Amino acid sequence: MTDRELEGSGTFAADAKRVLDEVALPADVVARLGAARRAAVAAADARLATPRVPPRWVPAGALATTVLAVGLATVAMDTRQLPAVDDPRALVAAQDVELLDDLEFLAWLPDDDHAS
Amino acid sequence: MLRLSLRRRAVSDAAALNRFLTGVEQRAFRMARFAVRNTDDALDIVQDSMMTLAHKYATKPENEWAPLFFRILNNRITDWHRRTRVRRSVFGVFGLRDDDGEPVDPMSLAVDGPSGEPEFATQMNAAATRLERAVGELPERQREAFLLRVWEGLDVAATAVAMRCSEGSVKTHLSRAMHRLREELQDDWP
Repeated sequence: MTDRELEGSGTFAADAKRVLDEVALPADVVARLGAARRAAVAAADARLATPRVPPRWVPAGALATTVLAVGLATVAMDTRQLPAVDDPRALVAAQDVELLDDLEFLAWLPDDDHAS
Repeated sequence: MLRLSLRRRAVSDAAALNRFLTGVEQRAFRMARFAVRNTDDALDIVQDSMMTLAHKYATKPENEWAPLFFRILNNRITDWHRRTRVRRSVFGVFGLRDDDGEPVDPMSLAVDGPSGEPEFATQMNAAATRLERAVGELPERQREAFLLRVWEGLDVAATAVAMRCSEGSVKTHLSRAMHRLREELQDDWP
């Protein structure tokens, strides 16, 4: 039921509101509601008047986050500096070429045994 | 300087909160009373709702207070029903049962009737008594939708926030509530 439909519901809604509003509460209930309200407002007043101090863990958390961010940024920059190569063997230093050849030879041996 | 400006702001916010609570406290009490049918429990629920609003949401914009406050109120009412059910089942274990064999909560013996205590009844005319009874007999969600929309005057969006449901559900609940109340009260009302 939208606002328009509610307004178009004749006087029923308006009558219901009027009848409900007309009922007066007993004085002791009104007094207790007033006391509850004053207590709530006083609590809010005290809370609003006190400057909010950030918890102790906030500076430590901020420092840890900064260190982590700097670390991640450094790693990311190092990764970007690596040269792009198609053949990983090109990265192997000249002195390791012999070792690489040996490894290829050893890998070839079992295949050769099976073939023969 | 900061302390002084905070103090000034606090005073104006507290005054606004006081105005807001003054405007809603009696309707909130009667909504709670419709739901729990006990004056003391209804007062406790309203007091608790006021405190929660003051503690957690006093810094929110003023136009958000109404849906937040009634949402808190509805949550407290739901908690009350939950506690009552648990208590009832506990006392059921100890053999306290009514004529139909249903577990009885001793606290429910203190619950008021639909129109409440005699002091309430004497201050209500016939139309109000019939309406109170009819509203009290509505299903919980329909009653919430009716009271928040028709009586409290919240719009559909604010009522949806207060009831924690979609705007479509609010419209459905309200439509059913109006239909049921019309049927219950007939044409000769008020």
